[in-house]
Amino acid sequence: MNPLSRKLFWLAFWVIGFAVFMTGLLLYFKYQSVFTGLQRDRVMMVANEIDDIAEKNLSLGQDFWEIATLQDVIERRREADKIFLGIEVVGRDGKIAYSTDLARVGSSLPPAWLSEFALVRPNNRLSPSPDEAILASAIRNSFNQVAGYAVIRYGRQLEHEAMAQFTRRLTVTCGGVFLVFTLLLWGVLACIRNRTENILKRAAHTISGDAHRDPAMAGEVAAIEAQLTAAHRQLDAVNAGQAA
Amino acid sequence: MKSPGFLKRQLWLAIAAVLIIVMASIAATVGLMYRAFDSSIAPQVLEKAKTAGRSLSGLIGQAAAYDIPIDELVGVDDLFAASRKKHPEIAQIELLRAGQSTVAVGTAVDAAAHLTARLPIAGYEGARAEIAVSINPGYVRKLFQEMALDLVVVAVVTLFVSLELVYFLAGALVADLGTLRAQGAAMARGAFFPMPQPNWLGLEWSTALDKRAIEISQRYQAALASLRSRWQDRHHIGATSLRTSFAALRETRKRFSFADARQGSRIDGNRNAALALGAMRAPFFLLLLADDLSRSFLPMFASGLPAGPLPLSTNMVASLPIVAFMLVVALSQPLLGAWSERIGRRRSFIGAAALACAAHLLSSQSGSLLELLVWRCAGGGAWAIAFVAAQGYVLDHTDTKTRTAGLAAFVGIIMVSLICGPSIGGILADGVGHRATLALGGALTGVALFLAWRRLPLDQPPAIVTTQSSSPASASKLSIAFANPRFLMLLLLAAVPAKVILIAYCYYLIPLYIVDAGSTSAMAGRMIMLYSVMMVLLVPMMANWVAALRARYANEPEALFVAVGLAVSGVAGLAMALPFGLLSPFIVVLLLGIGQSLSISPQAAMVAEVCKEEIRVLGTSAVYGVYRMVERLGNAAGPLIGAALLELAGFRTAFVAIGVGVVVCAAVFSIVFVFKPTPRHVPRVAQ
Repeated sequence: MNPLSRKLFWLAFWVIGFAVFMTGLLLYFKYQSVFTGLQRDRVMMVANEIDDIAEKNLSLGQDFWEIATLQDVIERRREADKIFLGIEVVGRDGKIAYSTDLARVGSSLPPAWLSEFALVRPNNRLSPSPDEAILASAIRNSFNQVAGYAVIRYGRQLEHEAMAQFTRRLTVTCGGVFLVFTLLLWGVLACIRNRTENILKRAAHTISGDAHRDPAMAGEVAAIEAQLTAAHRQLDAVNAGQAA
Repeated sequence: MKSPGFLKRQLWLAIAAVLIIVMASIAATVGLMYRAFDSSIAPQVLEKAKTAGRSLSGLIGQAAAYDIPIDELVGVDDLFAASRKKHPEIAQIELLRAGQSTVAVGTAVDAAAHLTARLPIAGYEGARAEIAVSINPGYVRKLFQEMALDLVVVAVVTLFVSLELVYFLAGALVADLGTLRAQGAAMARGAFFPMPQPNWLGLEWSTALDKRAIEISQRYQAALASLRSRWQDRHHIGATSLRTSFAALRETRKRFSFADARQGSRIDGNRNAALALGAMRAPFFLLLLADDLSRSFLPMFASGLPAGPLPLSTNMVASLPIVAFMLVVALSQPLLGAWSERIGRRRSFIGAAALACAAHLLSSQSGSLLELLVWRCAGGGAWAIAFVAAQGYVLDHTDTKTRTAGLAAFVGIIMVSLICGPSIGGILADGVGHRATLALGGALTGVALFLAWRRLPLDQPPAIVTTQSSSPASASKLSIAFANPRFLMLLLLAAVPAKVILIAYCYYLIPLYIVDAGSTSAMAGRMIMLYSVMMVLLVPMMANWVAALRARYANEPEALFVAVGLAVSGVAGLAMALPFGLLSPFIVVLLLGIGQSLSISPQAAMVAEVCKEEIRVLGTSAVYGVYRMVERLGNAAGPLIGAALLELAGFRTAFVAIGVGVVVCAAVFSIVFVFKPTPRHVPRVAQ
C-alpha cells in the first residue's frame, strides 16, 4: 500500500469509525433508557396501586398500621411478577408495617433511603446493589401529608442480561457496518484520487505537446496554452525587433 | 480561470462521497439494529401491559365482592381511558365477556396474539370476564422516530467532524490541491515562474507546467540579455531599430510576469502556512470541543452541587460557573496577547492544553460549588490562552493575501465546535451522566495536548508585526475610548445587550427551562446547536446583504441592521410568553439566531465608523480590543442577570424581561444612530 493509499485508508477508518461509534452509542443509550423505563413503569404501576389502596383506607379513617387488605394485595402482586424481590409498606419513619417477607415487619429501612424517597423524582430509583433496584411511592393522608411509602425492591438481572445481549448484537452490527463502509469509502476515495491523477497526467501530456486532449480538463489546458502561445508570440515580437 | 474548477470539483466530489457514505453507514446501523430493538423491547412492553391489566382486573374484581353484575359496572371506559392515557404504548384495552368485547377503549389494531395480554377478572369467573390489553405494534417504530432527532444530530456532527478529520488526516492532500490550483491559476493568468510542487498528487501535471513556465521564462531572460547587449551597442547599430523591441518588451511585461512579485522568501510560505494551520486545527478544535461539551448541562450540574457556606439560591449557583468562565476569558484575553507572543505560540498552546486537561478532569470530580468555580476559572484561562495562541498562529503564518482565509478557517473551527459540542454533550450527559461527560472533555484535551506537542511547528517570527495581540486594553486606552459618547452608547446599547441576551438565553435559561419542562440535556444541546447552525448559515449572508446595500445605495446601513437585529433578538424572548411548551424555546433560538446574525458583523463594522478619531490616535487593534473586552463582559453578565430574574419571577418573566430590556436598548440605539447618523467630519477652514 503506497503512503497516499494509507492516508486515505486512515481517513475512511476514522470518519466511518466516528459515525458508527456515535450511532451505536446513541442506540445503546436509547435501549437502556427504554428498557429501564419500561421496568420502572411496571414497578411504579404496582407501587401506585398499593398507595391508592392505602390512601383510600386512610381516607376512611383506618389506622395506617391496621389496613387489613394491604398484606394480601402486596403478596398477590409479588407472586404475579417474578421481577419483584419484595414489596413493603413503611411508615414515615421507615418502620416496615407490611412486607412480603414477614420477618422484616417491624424492622426499619436505612435512613438514607428515606431521605432519597423524600427527594424522589419520576425517573429516580435507588440501586443499593448492582442486581437490585428500589422504587418508592408516597402514601398521603387526607391532609396531603406523607403517611408512609409503598416500597418495591426489584431485580435487575433481566436488565443486565438484556443489555448484555443487546450490546453483543450492537457490537457485531457496528463492527460489520464499520468494516463494510470503511472499505467502501476507502475504495471510493481511491477511485476519485486515481481518476484525478489520471486526468492530471493526461493534461500534463497535453501541455507537454501531446495532441490528445482530455475533456475533463480541456478548458483549463486551453486557457494555459493560450497564455503560453501569446507569451511566445510576444517574445517573437521582441526578438523580431532586434533582428530588424 | 477554469483550472481550479476541475480540482475544486474533485475536492467537492470527495467531500460529497464522504458525506453520503457516512450517512449510509448511520442508516445501515440503525436499520440493522431496528429488528434487535423490536424483538427485545416488545416482550417488556407486553409485561408492562400485563401489569396494567392485572391492576385493572384487581380494581374491577373488587366490584364482585359487592355482587354487582359485570354488565352493570359503570365508569369502566373512563378507567380504561385514564390507564391508556398514562401508557401510550397501549393501543387498546377491552373488557371481554365470554370472548366478546363489551367495553373497548383505544384504537383496534391488527395486533398478533403475542402482542395482547389477557387476564381473567377474579370474582367474575362465572361470566368468563377478561381484560385484554393490546400493545401498539408500532411502538418501537415510534421510539425510533423519536430518536430521529438525535440521529440527525449525530449525522450533522459526524459530517462536521469528518471535515475536521479530512483536514487533520489528509491536510497534505488538501494543501496539494491548493498548490496545483495556484500553479494552474498563475499560468492561466500569464505568470511564468517556478512555484512550489505538490508532494502527493498531480506531480506530473505540476512538473509539466513548471517545465513550460521555465521554458518561457528562459526565452524571456535570453531576449532580455540580447536586448541589453544590443542596447549597449546602440551607437553602432542605431537606437531606432530597437524601439520596436522595447515596445514589444513593455507589452510582454504588462501582460505576463516572469518572477514572483510577492514577498520574496514567502514563495513557499502559503504551503507552509497551510501545514502550520493544519497542525493547529485539530488540537484547537478538540480544546474548544471539550468546553462546548458541557454547555448544555453545566447549569444543571452546578445546581446539584452544595454551595457550602455561600448563601446562594439554586438558580444563582447554576449561573456562577458560566459567569466565572466568561469573566476570566473577558479579563484575561487582552493581557494574554503580548504574553503569548513573548513565550511563543507553541509553548502557550501546550500550556493551555495541559491546564484545560487538568481543569476538566478536576471539574468532573468537583464536590462543591467552590471547587467547580475554581476549575471553571482555570478552564476559562486555558480557553483564553489557547484562543490567543491559535489566533497568533494564524497571524504569524499568514500574510496580507492569506490572512482573511486563515482567520475564516479559525472562526470556522470555533463554529464547528459550537455546533458539535453542546449537541453531543447533551446526548452523552443523558447517557453517561454529567461527571463522565466532563471527564470526557478532560480526555479530549489530553488528546489535544498530545497532538499539540507532536505536531505544532516551532514558533517563527511573525510575517508582519501584529499590533493586535500586543495591545492590551490599558486604563489610558479605555479612558480615551470611553470619552467618545457614541462609542460608549454603541457598547452599552448594542454590544453588551446582544451578548447578555445570547448567553443568558442559550447557555443558562434555555438549558434550565428545557430540563424543568421535563425534557433532557440532549434537547438543550440541540437548541444550542440550532443557534450555531443558524449563525454559520446566516452571518455570511447578512454580511453580504449589508455590503450589497452599501454598494447599491451608497449609504451606511449598519446601524439599521444592528437596531433591527437587536429588536429581533429582544422579541425572541417574548415568544416564551406563548403557551407552546418546548416549541417556545425553539422559536426563541430561531429568532435569536436571526437577530444576532443581522447585528454581529454590522456592529463590529460600526466601531471603525464611530471611533475614527480614537483609531487614529490608538490604532485599530487597541480600539477593537476595548470593544471586545466590554462585549465579553456582557457574556459574563448574561447568566447573572438571567439568574436574578429567574429567582425573582420565574422562567417566563425572566425571558420576557431580558427581551423587553433588549428591545428598549434597540429603540434608544435607533434614536441615537439610525435617526441621527454619525456626523461627517468637516475639514476646518484655515484662518
